[in-house]
Amino acid sequence: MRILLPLLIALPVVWAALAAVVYRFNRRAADLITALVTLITCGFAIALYLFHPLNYPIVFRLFGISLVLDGLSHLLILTAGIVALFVAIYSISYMEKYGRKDLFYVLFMLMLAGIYGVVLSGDLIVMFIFLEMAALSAYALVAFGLESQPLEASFKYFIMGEAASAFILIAIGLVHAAAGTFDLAEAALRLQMTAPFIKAVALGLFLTGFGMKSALFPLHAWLPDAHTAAPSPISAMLSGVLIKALGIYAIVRVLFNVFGMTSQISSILMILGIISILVGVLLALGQWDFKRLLAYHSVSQIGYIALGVGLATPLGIMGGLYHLFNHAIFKSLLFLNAGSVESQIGTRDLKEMGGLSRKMPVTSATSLVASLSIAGIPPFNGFWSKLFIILACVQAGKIWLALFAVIGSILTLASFLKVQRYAFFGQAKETLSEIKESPVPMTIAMVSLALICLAIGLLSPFVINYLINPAVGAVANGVGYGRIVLGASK
Amino acid sequence: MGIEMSQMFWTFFIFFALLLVEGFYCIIVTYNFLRVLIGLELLMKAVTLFIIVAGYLSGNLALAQSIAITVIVIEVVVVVVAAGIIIGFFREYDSLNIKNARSMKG
Repeated sequence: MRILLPLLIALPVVWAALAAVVYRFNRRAADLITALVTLITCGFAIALYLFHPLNYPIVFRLFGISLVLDGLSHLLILTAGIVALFVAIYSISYMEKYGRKDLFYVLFMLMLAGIYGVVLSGDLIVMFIFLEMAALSAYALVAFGLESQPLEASFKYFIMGEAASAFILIAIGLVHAAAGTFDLAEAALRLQMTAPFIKAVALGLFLTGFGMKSALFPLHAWLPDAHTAAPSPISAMLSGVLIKALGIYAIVRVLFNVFGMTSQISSILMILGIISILVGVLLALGQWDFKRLLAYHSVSQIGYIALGVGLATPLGIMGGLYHLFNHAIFKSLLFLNAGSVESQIGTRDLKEMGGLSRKMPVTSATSLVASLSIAGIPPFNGFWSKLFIILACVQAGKIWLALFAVIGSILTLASFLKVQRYAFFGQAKETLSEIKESPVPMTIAMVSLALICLAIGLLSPFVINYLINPAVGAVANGVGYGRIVLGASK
Repeated sequence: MGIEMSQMFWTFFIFFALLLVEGFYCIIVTYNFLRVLIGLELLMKAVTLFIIVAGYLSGNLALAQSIAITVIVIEVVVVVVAAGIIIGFFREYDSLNIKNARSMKG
């Protein structure tokens, strides 16, 4: 099974190199192969779940570079695989209007490979290189429309993202100076003896850098612009996978497994999380741009994940990671809905929509599923993960945090009622009488994601047992990660 | 850390800190796209220098130097992507003034 780890990264990179050539000769084949590559990587993730013993990491070493697959990275790979598969299917028709689909496929595949690389790498420098690969393709993809808004959003994202990369690189340098290694597992063992001051500085720099990438509260300024201006499938990828793989995953890996969690860091994460929840949802309430509203909700939902993980109790970590998985599914579905509406009626302004439920039944029904999921209505998936986070707050004796999390959830429901009321229900506008449902590939992607939302909600105990608990185990190992990974690679 | 090593360290470290502050200052005060990019490059140069310092401290200078080369290669790609965005802007507005970029608010 070890060989699947480098293949997960190599397959998208190889196809990125070939996509432009194949597209020149046969456009349909390029569409199909892109979807096939994402399907194969998603299949690899599922195969690894089926054929590999739980709670034990797989390590692949080549030329001193190690790729490590444990429960946490496995969850992220599955998430990325599922979202990328449906985004690829959706893009087949959505990206027609932009032209130059070959460039889109090249950048999309490089971004996917970068995400897999960040999640799999067991080495800080390799992680940084893949992080830059994913981030640079993301800047280019945000600017894909080449109009004033995409360019502006992309430049803003670029400056903030590269400043974050500089912070991360300084922190990596500090770890190297203190521990003499770039390897995560060895650093986890050697950093125990390091002076607390150096560790605190490095942790602060890591938290700033990865916090910027994951758009936690004071560092979220780039996210609403980038998610609004990007093509919708890319918004779905950014919100569903990129901010989690480059931000939350890296924070969790470095904080828990390399440095070791302390109560100060835990409270910082919880406070950032709760402020993100409230600020994100309050800013979202006032938005009339469909995608901008969804983008602010990403800030808010990332806050829930940070709150759950920051509690650092097993229940809290489980709630946070479960919410990470669920948010990837329903938020990418919502962005695909927004893209479907935008491509059919030509605007993102909620005031100019209305009565779309009769004209676009599939988009309307799937967006209802996703809205109920994100608002935390049973039996959809968002309900369970929010419930676990709130229960974990109460269990840890932090009643106030639980209260604010509930308030955030209610405000989320309010803002999605607004979306449903203005866009899909209500009076049909006369200008919208000629509107038709989106093409088949787009509806297939939306319906599949909606079914996954429902399935995760109904099969919650199985999902927690087989997908989430191994990830929680990997996080809860703490700095024991170093010993376990070094033991597995012998 | 011996006295000679300590002197080397502080020389490098002061240059690193100066470059870092210059880079941030340049990004914050200017209203020109290209100058922002140059500020960012100063920042990345500071970080590259710091990687070398880190290698010197941990006694792994060869590894740190090879990492520094890798970082320089990444920077080239960074500049290419940023230059592409800036050219797009120039075609849109016929100017490099950042104050033009105010279409997204709220």
